[in-house]
Amino acid sequence: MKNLHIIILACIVATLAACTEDLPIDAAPTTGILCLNGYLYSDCDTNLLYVTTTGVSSPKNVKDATVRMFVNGTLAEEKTQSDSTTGGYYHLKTKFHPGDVVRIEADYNGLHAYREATVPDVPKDLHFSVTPIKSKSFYDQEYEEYVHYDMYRIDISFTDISSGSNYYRLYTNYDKYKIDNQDHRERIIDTVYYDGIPYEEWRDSVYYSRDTIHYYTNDSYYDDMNEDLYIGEAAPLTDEEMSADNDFMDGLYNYYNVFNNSRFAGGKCELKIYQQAGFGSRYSSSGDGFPPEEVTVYSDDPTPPEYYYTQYVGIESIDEQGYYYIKSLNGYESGAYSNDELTGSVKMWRNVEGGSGNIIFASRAMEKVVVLDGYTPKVKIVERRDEARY
Amino acid sequence: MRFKILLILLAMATCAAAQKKYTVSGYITDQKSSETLISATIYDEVSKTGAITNVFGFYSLTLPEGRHTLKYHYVGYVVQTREIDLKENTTINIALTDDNEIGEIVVTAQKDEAGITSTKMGSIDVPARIVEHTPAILGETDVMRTVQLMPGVQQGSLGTSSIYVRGGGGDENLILLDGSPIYKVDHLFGFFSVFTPEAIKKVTFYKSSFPARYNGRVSSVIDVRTKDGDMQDFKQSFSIGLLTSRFTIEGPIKKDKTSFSLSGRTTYLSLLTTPVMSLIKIDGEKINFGYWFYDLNAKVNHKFSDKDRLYVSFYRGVDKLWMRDKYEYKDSDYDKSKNDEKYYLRWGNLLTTTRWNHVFSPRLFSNATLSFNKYKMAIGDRYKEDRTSTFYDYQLGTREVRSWKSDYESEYNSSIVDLGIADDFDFMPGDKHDLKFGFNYIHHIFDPETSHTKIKNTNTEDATDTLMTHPGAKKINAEELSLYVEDDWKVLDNLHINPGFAYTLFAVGGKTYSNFQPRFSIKYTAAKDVSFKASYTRMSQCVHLLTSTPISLPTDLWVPITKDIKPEIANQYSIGAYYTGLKMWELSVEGYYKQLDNVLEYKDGMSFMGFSADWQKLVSMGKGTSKGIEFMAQKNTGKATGWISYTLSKSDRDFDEYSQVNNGDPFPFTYDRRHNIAIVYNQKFNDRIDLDVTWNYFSGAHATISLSKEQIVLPESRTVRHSDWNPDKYEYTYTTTTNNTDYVDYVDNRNNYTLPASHLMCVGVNFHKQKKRCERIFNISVYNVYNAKNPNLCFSESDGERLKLRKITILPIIPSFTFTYKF
Repeated sequence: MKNLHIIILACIVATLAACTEDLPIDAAPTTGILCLNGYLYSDCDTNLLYVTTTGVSSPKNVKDATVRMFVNGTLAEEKTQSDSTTGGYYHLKTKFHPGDVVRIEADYNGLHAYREATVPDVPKDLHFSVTPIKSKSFYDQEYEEYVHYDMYRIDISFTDISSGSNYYRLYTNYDKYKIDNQDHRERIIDTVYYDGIPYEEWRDSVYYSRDTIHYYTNDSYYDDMNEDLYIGEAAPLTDEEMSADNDFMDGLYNYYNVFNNSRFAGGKCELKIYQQAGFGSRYSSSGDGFPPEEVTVYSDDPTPPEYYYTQYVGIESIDEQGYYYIKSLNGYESGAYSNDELTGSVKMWRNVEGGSGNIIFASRAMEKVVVLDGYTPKVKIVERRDEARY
Repeated sequence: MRFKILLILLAMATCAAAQKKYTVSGYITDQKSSETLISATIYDEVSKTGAITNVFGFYSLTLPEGRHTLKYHYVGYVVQTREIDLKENTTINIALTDDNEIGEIVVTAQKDEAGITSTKMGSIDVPARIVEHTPAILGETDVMRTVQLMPGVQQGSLGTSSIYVRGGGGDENLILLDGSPIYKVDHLFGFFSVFTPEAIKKVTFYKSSFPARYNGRVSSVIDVRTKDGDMQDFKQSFSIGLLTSRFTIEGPIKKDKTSFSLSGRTTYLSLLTTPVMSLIKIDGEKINFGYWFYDLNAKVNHKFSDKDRLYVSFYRGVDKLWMRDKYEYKDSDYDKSKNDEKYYLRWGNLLTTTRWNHVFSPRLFSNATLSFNKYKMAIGDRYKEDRTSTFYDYQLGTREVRSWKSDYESEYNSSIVDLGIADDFDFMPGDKHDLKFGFNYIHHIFDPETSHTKIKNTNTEDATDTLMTHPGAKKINAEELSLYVEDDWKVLDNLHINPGFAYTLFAVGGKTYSNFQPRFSIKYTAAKDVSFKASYTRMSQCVHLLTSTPISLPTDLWVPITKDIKPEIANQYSIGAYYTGLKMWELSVEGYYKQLDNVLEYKDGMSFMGFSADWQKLVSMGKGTSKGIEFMAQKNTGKATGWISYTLSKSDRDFDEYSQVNNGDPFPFTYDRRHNIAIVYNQKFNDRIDLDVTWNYFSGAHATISLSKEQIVLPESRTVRHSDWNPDKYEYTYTTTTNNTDYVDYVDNRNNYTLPASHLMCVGVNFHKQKKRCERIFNISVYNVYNAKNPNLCFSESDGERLKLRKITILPIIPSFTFTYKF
């Protein structure tokens, strides 16, 4: 969408010759507003609460706020000093549980802010499995060629915690690495380019689902789309598909994998998500992305590489306030709230009373599956003069 | 209750009909073209009663038996008088002569008394000549820009043709083209409306006492009627302007029986902007893009007899914006390709309407309508590649040269289709009643998102030929039925009332909403030139436009209400006073109070971003109030015409504390502009020169501006490894940061900033020259004559230490010219 805005604005400006000037600001900057932020898990040893105030160009950390935590009406913890030397965050050591009513409050410079909520239940019956999927070739718009893009499919199921309105977030993470014959451990990550600048990025759950589905064009494509309806919240298409990979507009991307139970209330939720295989050459027409079945090694060092892959999946139940907050974060991460000339600033979702910020209570069910545990391909031994490849 | 009202009305109508009276009826037309005249008046000087022609030029006046003196008049036409001895129902078709024939445009004997005679308030007739004489950007006269100058109307972003009426939203205006609603009413992202000025016969604008036949939007109705076509002679006109060229052709297919009208408009904006565009770069790359639009109006009307007429009208308008990148790639002799990439946005309306007018009796007129209306938007992408690559197999030591062609097409669509059938009746049982009743049924098909992808690749290894279609959000069918009745009742000579109601049913997603919408107007004539009016109107709206920007985007989506989102309801109360004692002037003052229920706003942090699924979860329903007072002094006749208007208004929104909209605190509506002054001045110096001037002042709109930053927490820690190229070591150096916080704009309240006021003057001069076979008109217009630097858009930015607020003025002084030839 931002690109569309830029084009439209450029079109108008070029047509009508614009000029820009400063405007008088008749409102004082809203600094010094007490902000509490935290993503707090039930049954967790340590949770972090961030205490800051609003600032003109950036928020200011608060070192000496008084932070109190009440569980079911009883004061469970009180802190008067930040656990960071630069201020900002406070460790909350009190464990709370699903169903508890938790109140977090803070006082600073005469300001008082708080959030009170009931901690949601833990999602039930979480199961998942991982299946390798070989894809047909597809046309990669970014690299402008047909490539293979093989996947691991992750099938996830869990049971809704009740038939009422419930809200969830999918969390996935993996540990994939290769140990070569020099005993070097190489973590498998993907390279991301932003604005033409290459840098590598990984987030705990970046490799999943809808953006990868786009590239996955085998025969079962439609089924997979349908089965992915929950997490897409019936968003028709992925970002790329919706905009037909063009430069006119971007969609709202479910960056933090948040979804509600409107399509499976009280029942079982089944998700299928996809992750790049990530072990092979992406651009080779012969590379399939999975660990190779056979590698060629030198006769003087015939040790084959070992491949390891552990997949983690978590489903977090979050309260309604957390759900909408994360949806607004999706808008922020998707560039929807860019304070550009057309959209202006957007008032973010907030659930802290008396100040600003968001405190989200979450309960997570977590599982892991070891997919490859030191997998070793067959070896083809060649003499040193030959080219050895793996 | 509503049935009782209907029965009473019918009983009274029957009593009136039982008296020994006869009816004079017929059509009033233009003598030269036989074009029917809307709102022409017929007045009997004996009984002091009168009637007005409906939108098809038909009138009906019931009078006592005996002699009568009938005067037929229409603004700008010579008054015709008929003496009749009424002994039976009589049909009199009148052809009025344009008063240019007698060389003077002064009508003093009969004033245009629309403000006095109409029982309704807040309704304004806008003849085509007023639209033509309102100067606008780049010489493009525009219906919507004329309407923007009316009291009670606020424009959206300055320069656009969007309108916000009495505190209502931009999607709360029912805009009709020959009776059919039109969804996308603008070109060039809101800078021009789709209505070709030459095709327009008349525009009627309603903002308070809405006739009962109009339903579906809560804030205003703009009824645009197009020309039927000259029944006598062929006429053509061609205009060439800076931005568009237009043509109109009309004439008889069979004299006095069948006529046609055809008009079109297209732009050559791309040709003008290409040199400028070539200088613009986005992300360091040149952009090659263009834009065009066109409008095509066609109409055929056939007169079977004095009792039957058929009209078939057609409108098609399309906008297209595209980007194209053609390039050749050559990495080496081993890898080369020719590439052609094209992206486009295309949107437009298609309307066809068939109407049949039938005069059942001199007192009963019917208009039956069948309509088809489609709005479609497409975003597409096409990529073609013709490639040759050399492949080297290291194992085998072989080379292979391979060539292939790729073709990738993808398109995302969104559309609305309306199939409608309606029948409207005018029943005039006597001189005291004018009954209108009928029904309107629309079958809506909303298809918010569908995408198609087609991939072809001739590469032997990866050969594909695939077509994929993905229905996005489900197609939604909705049924809308409205029944209505109203009566314009002359209770006493100086007291008129107009009671009526509409009853609407809207069925969607297994749920049916019904709404009873009473309408009531009263007019009391206190003295010859003084009258007072009051009205109450209830309106409901069952469709909404999803949008997230202040300008009109083709990606905005119309969606119907759902089982959770109730219809929006507006209750409006108005009072007004009118004075016509000053020669040729009408003075009016109207006050209003409007309550909006179930008005929608996005929840904090939510936004519409191109898809409609689950949109109802992103919005909350709340209340809106709007109040104001409007003054208008209008001069419709004479060589100098125009109006001065002033509006004082206030409009705000209020959502409860659980709505997650602005913490439950009330906030001003975005286009809550406190003061609005408009001056429109048209001066005809002689037959060769006329001058049009407009000046507009309005208080600033409201914007949401952030003046500080706040922290946010992320659900997952974000680890980012930045790579910086080190040319000395010829390698990347990496820095890694991990964080699960970020900071964003802090906004305390929505619409927390009031933009500065705007004002601008536009001037147009028309030079007419009558040639042997044609008339030539040369128009020079200047938009924003004194180059006022008004804030079209504004945004905040930080210089590192403090935030600055900046405004963008995109519409400085813009001169333009247009040549028109009329044959």
